[in-house]
Amino acid sequence: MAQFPALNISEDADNVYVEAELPGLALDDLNVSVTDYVLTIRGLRQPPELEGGTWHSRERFYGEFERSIELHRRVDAGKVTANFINGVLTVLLQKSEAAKPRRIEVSVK
Amino acid sequence: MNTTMTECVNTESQAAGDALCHQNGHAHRRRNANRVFTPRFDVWEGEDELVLYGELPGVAVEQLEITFANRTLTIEGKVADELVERDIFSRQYGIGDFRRVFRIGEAIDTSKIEATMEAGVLTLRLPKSENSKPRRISVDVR
Repeated sequence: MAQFPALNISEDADNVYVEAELPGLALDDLNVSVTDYVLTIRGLRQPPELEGGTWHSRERFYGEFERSIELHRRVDAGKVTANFINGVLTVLLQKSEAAKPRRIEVSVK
Repeated sequence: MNTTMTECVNTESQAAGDALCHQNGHAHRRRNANRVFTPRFDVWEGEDELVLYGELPGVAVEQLEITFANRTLTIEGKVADELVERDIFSRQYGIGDFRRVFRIGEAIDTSKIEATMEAGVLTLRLPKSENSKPRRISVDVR
């Protein structure tokens, strides 16, 4: 199985965005941490509690997971925000000043 | 209670959708136009009802359409991909329209079907109609 969760990573001039689909996760069971270069997403997805009966199909994944990725930009670990809407986690990481694109003035002599 | 039940009708598109959902590459993949994803579902059957749990992360209620007709349950929706507005560094899952069809073997009381969305999971409760439940037949003595 591919690593869980799958991640989409994108960026604009100021930020790096890491998104993960984590449907059915309770916020208390989700843990996101970051250093200068590494983002870690850790969590636990609990199966629904049902008495007896029969499972006809089990396609969803339950249990613990952990995934770390090395970021392709250096980020400011103190300025990271994350939200979890409709089962999608979005982590917004601000690039550190050194990693932002800079315009270089060319002077003519 | 273990009868014919629920099957996925569109197996072909499921295979295609899964392959894309779980591809673990670093390509700068753009949206696959016309690609229809097949969401994952767990299906449970109890004595009185069928319960389906479907993964629909990022799907708003307004984008979701559920119909039940002729014992066929269809769950589908249209979702636009907003990620393309930014520079994509790595793309491991796709975003787009989805569709899943189940054929339901049991008789369902369609007026009592309940659907709720929570944290990107659709829960569908299909109560069995009274006629399809096991019944005790009392025998009169004359």
